[in-house]
Amino acid sequence: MNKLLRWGWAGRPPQPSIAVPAAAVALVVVLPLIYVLYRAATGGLTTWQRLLTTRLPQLLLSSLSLTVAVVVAALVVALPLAWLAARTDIPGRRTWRWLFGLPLVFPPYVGAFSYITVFGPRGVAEKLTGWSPDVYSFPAVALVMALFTFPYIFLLAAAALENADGTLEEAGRLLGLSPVQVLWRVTLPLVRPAAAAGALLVALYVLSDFGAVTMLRYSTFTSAIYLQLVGRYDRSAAAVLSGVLAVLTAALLWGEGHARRRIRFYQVSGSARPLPKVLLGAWRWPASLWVIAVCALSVALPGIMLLYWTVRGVAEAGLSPDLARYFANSLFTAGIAATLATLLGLPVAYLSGRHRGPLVTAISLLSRCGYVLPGVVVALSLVFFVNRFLPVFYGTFAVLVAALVLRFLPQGVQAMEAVVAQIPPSLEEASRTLGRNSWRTWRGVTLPLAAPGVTAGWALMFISAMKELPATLLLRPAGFDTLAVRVWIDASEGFYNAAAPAALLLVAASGLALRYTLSGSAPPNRRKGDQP
Amino acid sequence: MFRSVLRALAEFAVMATILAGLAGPVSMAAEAGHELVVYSGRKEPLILPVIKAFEAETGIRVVLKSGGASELANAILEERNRPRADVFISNDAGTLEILRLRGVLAPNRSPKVAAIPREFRAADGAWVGVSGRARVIMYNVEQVTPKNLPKSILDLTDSRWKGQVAISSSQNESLIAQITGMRQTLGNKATEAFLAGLLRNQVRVLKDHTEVRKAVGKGEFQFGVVNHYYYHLEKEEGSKVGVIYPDQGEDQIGALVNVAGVGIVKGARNEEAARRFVDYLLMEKAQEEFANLNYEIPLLPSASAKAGVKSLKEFKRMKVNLDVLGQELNETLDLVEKVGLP
Repeated sequence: MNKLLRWGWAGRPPQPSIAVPAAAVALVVVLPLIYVLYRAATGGLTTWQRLLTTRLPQLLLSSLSLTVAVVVAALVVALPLAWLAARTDIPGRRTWRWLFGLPLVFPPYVGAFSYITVFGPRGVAEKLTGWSPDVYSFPAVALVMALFTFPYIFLLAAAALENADGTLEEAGRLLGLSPVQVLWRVTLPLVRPAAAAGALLVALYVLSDFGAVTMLRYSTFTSAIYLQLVGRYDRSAAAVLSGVLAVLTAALLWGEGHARRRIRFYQVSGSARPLPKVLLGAWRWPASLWVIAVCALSVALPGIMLLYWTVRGVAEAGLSPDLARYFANSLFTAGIAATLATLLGLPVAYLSGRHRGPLVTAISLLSRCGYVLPGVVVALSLVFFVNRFLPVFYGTFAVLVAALVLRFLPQGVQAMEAVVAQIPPSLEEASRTLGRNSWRTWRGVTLPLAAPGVTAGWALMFISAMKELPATLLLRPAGFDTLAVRVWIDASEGFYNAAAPAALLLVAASGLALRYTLSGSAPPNRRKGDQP
Repeated sequence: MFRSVLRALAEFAVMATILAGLAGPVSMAAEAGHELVVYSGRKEPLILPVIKAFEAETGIRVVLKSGGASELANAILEERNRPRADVFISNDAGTLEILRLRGVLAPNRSPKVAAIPREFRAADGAWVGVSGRARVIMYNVEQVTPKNLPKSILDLTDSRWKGQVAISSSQNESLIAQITGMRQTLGNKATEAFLAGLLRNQVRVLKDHTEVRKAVGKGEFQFGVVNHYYYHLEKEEGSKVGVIYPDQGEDQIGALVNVAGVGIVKGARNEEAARRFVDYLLMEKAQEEFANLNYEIPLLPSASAKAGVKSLKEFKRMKVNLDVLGQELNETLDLVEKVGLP
């Protein structure tokens, strides 16, 4: 038994106070996967035969090619921005730092609809210039998706860059590297874990997205799952396909973890000096142009469209007094879900960011590979488990929160793990040597150092929970409407103007949360007193 | 080792309890009592007025849970060992028949149900249509000259309309219902040839019917295959659109009329109230209000349609009983997949 455990922890067992909660969380988060396995098993041979003869391979291919294209585009957009905002003297860096989180707060259908309205056939651009790009072409779809999702990479990469140890770059320069070489050989490798973590979030988002890609008239594997579920009422077939997605996710996660484990470095914050800013000089103008162009396309365009629709919507129908209630419901639900998910995600992130071994890999993968399961599938898994085993809770607020936690905890784990991986274990060891117990060490050393990742993780999950629709629709207590639900109710009948005020409130609340969490979390190496 | 495990568990439990404590009061407040629980796949503004009227008239409180009809149907299937909904409202007879076939709807012998024509209800009354929606072709008046209009749905495969026809994705139950109707009246071969012809003719598949009607309204496409009220909705928004009820000739198949309908969930906790609710929807007054909310067609022969909307007597409809929409659903979807309609 002991030998087995040692193998599982790769010879270096974690503190039980970390391992036990982490394992418990993994076991809870895996519930939707268990449901998927159960339903897939009840399908029988005919389901499999039918699925194999359809367009699935083709859909899988179109899903994967879109994913690759979006990830590449998002990296190209996000990494230069992150470096500019975190490490240079570009004008307005503090503003850019949170502004480029904003594309995430737009619900994907709002974003997609803005681009279609502006660049689509008979759209604004065509009316003004007589020309419009084909928004439904593959490159356009990939670009639009990249503009929604690049903040996943930007936020994590910028946090890592701000946290990075300036002395390393200095050492590089002293050793005779040119500034470009420093960027390429020192800074880029430093930001690689965070960039990979963000890229993975982008990839998983694209794999699981349904709303925006369908609006852009692109078919993916996830649409096939919906077809089985809502077209045929075939939960078994949907489960089989969901399983395929989960396996794919696990493979991606494993690949990312594997790549990350080969390069591992820690930042000794105690010895780091304030980061030297790179002075851009005359380069600030082309750099600013790039920043402004991305901002115009990813933030200003959907923002202005949404404002325009809101003004028209209010002019047509006035403001519903119920909006305040929907707003409160949204904030409350998303806030509780994000906080709970942060608390639950911390041990998992710590374990997988710090330890290795088959058991760590298993816990880490299990807690995340349900991330791409379609929201409806996650919701049905909760209907199944809660109605059967905890009927008292069915139809209550608690189930809704549980669904949001199950869906988005992987995002938080992903964000937090990237930061935890950078904290040098020697600091914790020093703390323990000095007589602090593991809980105090964790609170006094690890948590403050991980703070940027923790707040970034919280913000990501909060924003996702604010936008979440499929599970909220199915699991909310009757009469408990959130902003996202209201937007859906109005927009699904084509009353886009009527839907706009609720959407704008949703965007504003998420945007404020993002701004607050990002500016409230100064990198720890600039704070005094956190060092052990 | 053992002690630290215990402590970890304790810490974990404390955190969980605090959070559960936060969530607890909210969930208590939201818990439903003995109200009538309605799962509705119909758009909320199109059902709420009728529910309010029912509440005022009977004093029964209704708890409405709106969502996608198919998602809610899946939830009802998943809840079958402990039913939560009393009544299910769907925008498609096929969805209701599927639930009946899977044994989660209760038969209903009410005379009010029997007053609705047989083609629009289940044999045992387990579901019954409340309002009708005809499958039509809408077109952009500025782009198509009236002389050249297609007369049959089959004309849309004509190369004259290449790239000019928009339909909704095959995830839409109304489109699937129409294809099932064609299989029943024209046969599998002809239907398959029709679908293949549409694809050859570069039919554009949009997300849903709202997209289709807006695209036709904007003139992005000349024709769209939709439910009739989408034509009325687009016209109401000021677009120059016209409508064709297809296949009205002597030897032609007619236009399919699908229904938005209602069924009582088997094992419902408030079965009595559920029966009153279904009866209420089938009264003349409620029929007219329900249908008028969305330009739909009342199914009770004595109720009249909104001005400008064709009533059941004013056009030729496909001769199919709608329970076939559920019974033949998988075969239709197999055909759709075989042809490769997105």
